[in-house]
Amino acid sequence: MTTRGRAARDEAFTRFVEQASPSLLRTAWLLTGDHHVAHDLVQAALVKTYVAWPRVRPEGALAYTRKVLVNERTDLWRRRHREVVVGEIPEGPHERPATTTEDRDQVVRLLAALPDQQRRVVVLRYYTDLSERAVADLLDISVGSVKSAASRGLATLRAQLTTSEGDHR
Amino acid sequence: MSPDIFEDELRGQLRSAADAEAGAFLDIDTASVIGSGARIIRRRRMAAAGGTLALAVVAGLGAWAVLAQGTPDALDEVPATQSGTPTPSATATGVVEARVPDGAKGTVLVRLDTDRRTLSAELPGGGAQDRAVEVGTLSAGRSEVLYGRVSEDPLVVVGVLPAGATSFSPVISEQRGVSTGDAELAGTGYRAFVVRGQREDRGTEVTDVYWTDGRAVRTADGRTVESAAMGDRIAYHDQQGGMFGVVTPEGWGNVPTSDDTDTGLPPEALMGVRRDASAMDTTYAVLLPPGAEDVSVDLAPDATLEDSTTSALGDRATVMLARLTTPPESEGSGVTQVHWTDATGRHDVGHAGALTTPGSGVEIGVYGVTLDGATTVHLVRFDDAGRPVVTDVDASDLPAEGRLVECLPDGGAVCAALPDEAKDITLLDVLGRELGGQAGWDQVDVPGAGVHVVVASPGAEGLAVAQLRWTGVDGRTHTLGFE
Repeated sequence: MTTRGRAARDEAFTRFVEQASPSLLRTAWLLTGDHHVAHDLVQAALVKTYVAWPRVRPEGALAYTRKVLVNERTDLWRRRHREVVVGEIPEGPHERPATTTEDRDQVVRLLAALPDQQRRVVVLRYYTDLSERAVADLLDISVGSVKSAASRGLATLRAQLTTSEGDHR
Repeated sequence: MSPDIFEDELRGQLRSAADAEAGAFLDIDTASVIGSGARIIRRRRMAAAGGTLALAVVAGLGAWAVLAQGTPDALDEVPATQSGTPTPSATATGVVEARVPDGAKGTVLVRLDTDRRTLSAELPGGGAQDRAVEVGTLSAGRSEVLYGRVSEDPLVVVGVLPAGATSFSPVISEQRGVSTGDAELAGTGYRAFVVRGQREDRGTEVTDVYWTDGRAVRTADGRTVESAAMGDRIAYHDQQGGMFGVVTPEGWGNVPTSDDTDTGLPPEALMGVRRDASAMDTTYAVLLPPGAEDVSVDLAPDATLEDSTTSALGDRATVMLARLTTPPESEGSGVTQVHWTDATGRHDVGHAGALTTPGSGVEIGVYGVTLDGATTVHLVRFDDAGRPVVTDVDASDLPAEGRLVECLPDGGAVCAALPDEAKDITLLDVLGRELGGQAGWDQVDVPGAGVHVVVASPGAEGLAVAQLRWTGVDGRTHTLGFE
């Protein structure tokens, strides 16, 4: 067998994994709220990317993997729909005053409580900073559906966060 | 809190939350990723290379048939190029629809908005309202293939091709079966197509679309690959995409040719279709080195050569394209050996078929390769990472007892090249004791080489094979150790 081509391919792919995996892991964690599930998702998405590597342009590799990841995530949601652990949403005036760390934890818990589609759209729009069009392409839905999901997701988060802020004051 | 301020704060909180978790993430195991990916590639390759690795075990030597050497201009050669895609001529305006069969008893309504150049599809809603899905937008001023997934489960991909396309072949990420259909989008210069996967084949993706106008083969991005036509049949070699194949009026057949799949043997592509109850028409193509001359093939006794020709395929390859007739029940292509001469000498490559190791079920492809009279047996298997592992056995001066090699690691199986057909095989350990009742063996003949190849396994782990004892058809028994 010719090993040179395979070695060059593996080397380039390894570089890509090193560069892209931190961002992919963060995205997957925001989508799942679970480090292990996020790791498995990214690993599975990277396997598919490796298979498609000869046809994935270097500049499009991250977008390709992200799309696979979100689709993998869709599969996982469908398989484990009733197993997703939703964090407890803090409420009530007995909560301690907010801190930066608590804010971070709270937004993640609130995110986990959103319906799947809204959570995906919120993460892709406001964490990965993708355009509405790009999110629509990624999720294979219409731009209108992206707008709708983003609007509903933001409204829920805003209401919860505002309530929480009010409660703290 | 205003929406803009809130959105900015949300962005900040999401980033802050994700960054704060950085230390908690498990490292990605790149080696594991590559290993898993390579195994998938290997499975695809094995499935796609069925015409090569799973060629029938040939009973006896084939009848010798020399193909008429085609002159270079006998093939209509089309070089690889980035241009030359036919430009669709549009006469329609507004939205043009076509109901496209998906090849699985269903249809998909495909819409092309000629003003906005947008493509969309409407999928049956399963009793509810039908669901419209946008596919994408065609670039202005250029012809192209546009496609996109509109359903994940089952996979449904909708796209358009230039109307001049006579047939197409989707490249599937996993080597799975898909059905296809197409229909004209009248007056738009495009044809709509649909690719539908099996419901259970989740994760399948269309990674490219080969298509032809009957003269050359092109990729989805309009790149023309090295193509050569013989009548209504085309051989093509996509070096960039790593694929070699044939296009016939009945369909496409192809094999990967990338570094991952290179075994050093000439890739072959097949497309067979049953003509009637008594015959199958097979189109056979083999990709040879540049400058290959005196190309010929041997045929199985039940195969008949109908037509053939040979030509350069660009400046990096030579292709032989042939049409054969074989009985419908025959396995393989009907070609048992390929012969050619190139700068390195005279080559004779024979296909023996595949051996399966007893117990572990590993497939080992067996080939006889003769260069200027010296024969080497290639034993080809694939490791856990999907890489081909080729074990060579020198069969040019085969001793009377044969030669023994390890063909699976850790004593999992041994292979032997024998000068005679074996009637009985026994495996022995280092003390000469017979190994177990679970041992098994299999055998094939290498056509044209006078070599018989045996694979034998002790059938249980931890049993180290030191010798192989075999009895030939002449009744003589030989004991064979590792050299």
